[in-house]
Amino acid sequence: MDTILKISNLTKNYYNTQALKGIDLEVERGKILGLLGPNGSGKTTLMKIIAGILKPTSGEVLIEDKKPGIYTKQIVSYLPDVNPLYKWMRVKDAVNFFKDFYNDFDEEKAKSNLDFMELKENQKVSSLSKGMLERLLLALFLSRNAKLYVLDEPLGGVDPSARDKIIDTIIKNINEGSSMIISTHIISDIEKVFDEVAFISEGKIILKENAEELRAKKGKSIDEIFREVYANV
Amino acid sequence: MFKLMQYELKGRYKYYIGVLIGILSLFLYINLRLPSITNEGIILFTIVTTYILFIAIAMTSNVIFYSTDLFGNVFGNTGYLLFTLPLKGKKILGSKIILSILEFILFLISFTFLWYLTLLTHNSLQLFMPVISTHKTLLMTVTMLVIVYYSFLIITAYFSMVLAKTIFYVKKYGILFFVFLFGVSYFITNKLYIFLSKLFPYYIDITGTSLTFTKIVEINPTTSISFNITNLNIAVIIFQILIIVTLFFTTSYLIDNKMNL
Repeated sequence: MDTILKISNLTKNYYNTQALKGIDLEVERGKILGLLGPNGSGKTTLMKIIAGILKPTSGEVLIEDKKPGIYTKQIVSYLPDVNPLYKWMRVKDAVNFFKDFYNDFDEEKAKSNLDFMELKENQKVSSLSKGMLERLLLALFLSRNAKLYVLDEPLGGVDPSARDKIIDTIIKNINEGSSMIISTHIISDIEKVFDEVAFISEGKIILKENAEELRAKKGKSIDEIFREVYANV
Repeated sequence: MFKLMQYELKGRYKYYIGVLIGILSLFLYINLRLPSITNEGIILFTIVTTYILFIAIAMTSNVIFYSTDLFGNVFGNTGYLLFTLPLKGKKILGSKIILSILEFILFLISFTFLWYLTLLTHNSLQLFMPVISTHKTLLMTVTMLVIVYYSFLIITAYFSMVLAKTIFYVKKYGILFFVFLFGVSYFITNKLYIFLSKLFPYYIDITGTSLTFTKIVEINPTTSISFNITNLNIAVIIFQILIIVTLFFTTSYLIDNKMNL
């Protein structure tokens, strides 16, 4: 199977602090990778570098053999862990914005996702609750037919009832041939979607394995393994 | 780029309404006062003074407004939307700068149009038409210089903001460095203008006759808002345009290759 993302010996320093310490990671086409780690472990830094908005200190990131830039931004759908939408926007403005700038944006899919998420076109972005906003962002970013989805904490700050809806949307929108990286520290609800998991701690990948094989090998859920791993770190 | 300009525009309509209300209020005041003023010299003085004031206020508020807007992009969250678009830095920057210049020109046109209406309703327009037609070249040149100077301020602010974000990850230091860098860039370029005007004392004569109007306000070494401008230093004008172009491409390069969100 071919690789969509290849990261080699990636480091990132913030002044004297080393946020990433020689990361090596590959994501195969069509696979969903769970990037798991506690707060401050380097998940967001790694995702920002993949999205092309943070420059690495050293090492290499290749997405379809290209360094992050204009081309990779066309094929990567990056959902940040904050609300990136303009305050003046209504839901329909946000949809139009995506439609205007991304050739792979599927308007029909967006309409269906918005309906599923119970969002109205005329709702103001600034008036949405945290859970509703997360749903809107997910509906928008997953409505792109991207080759690589990078979702940073899509469940962060969302109440358990809304989580199911978000996970269902992720499952509903997975295209065959597209890959996905989902970072989270809330694992139990979402682990069923992962094909592979990578555990990151203090800027290093400490474990990367097939999710099913890891569960079978340890006889535990990924959530339990996560707790076990980070109890010793 | 034009699509991006549309969205930038949508987010600004409240600002436009605010500025236009400000301009209308000013003209309401002028129109209330003007019937009691019969001296055409005083009317001319009022026109020139309000223009100078308006240009200074419009420039300052636009630079502050656009800096705040870019601040939201590079230090706030909207940058995650803007800078992940598959667009080159020069398109993102270009759309913002073109829009800000068009906006400034729109404000100038609105202001001029309201003065035209004011003079028309007070039957004073015919007094000033000869002055305007005699000094057409001068007025056009001053307008161009004001726009060039405004472009310089905007691009310097953008450059300082992007460089600050490139160097500092922490918002607080970034803001401080932006203010410092903007001040330093402004100071250095002004010193260079003075130096160049002494080094290359070649001038273009832009007036035939000059008005006997002595209100002179120095905005910068290249532009003094005065009806007594008779010549412009060629080297300084070329240098100012070069600075604008250089800062534009440097800022675009930083956005594409160096800036960290």
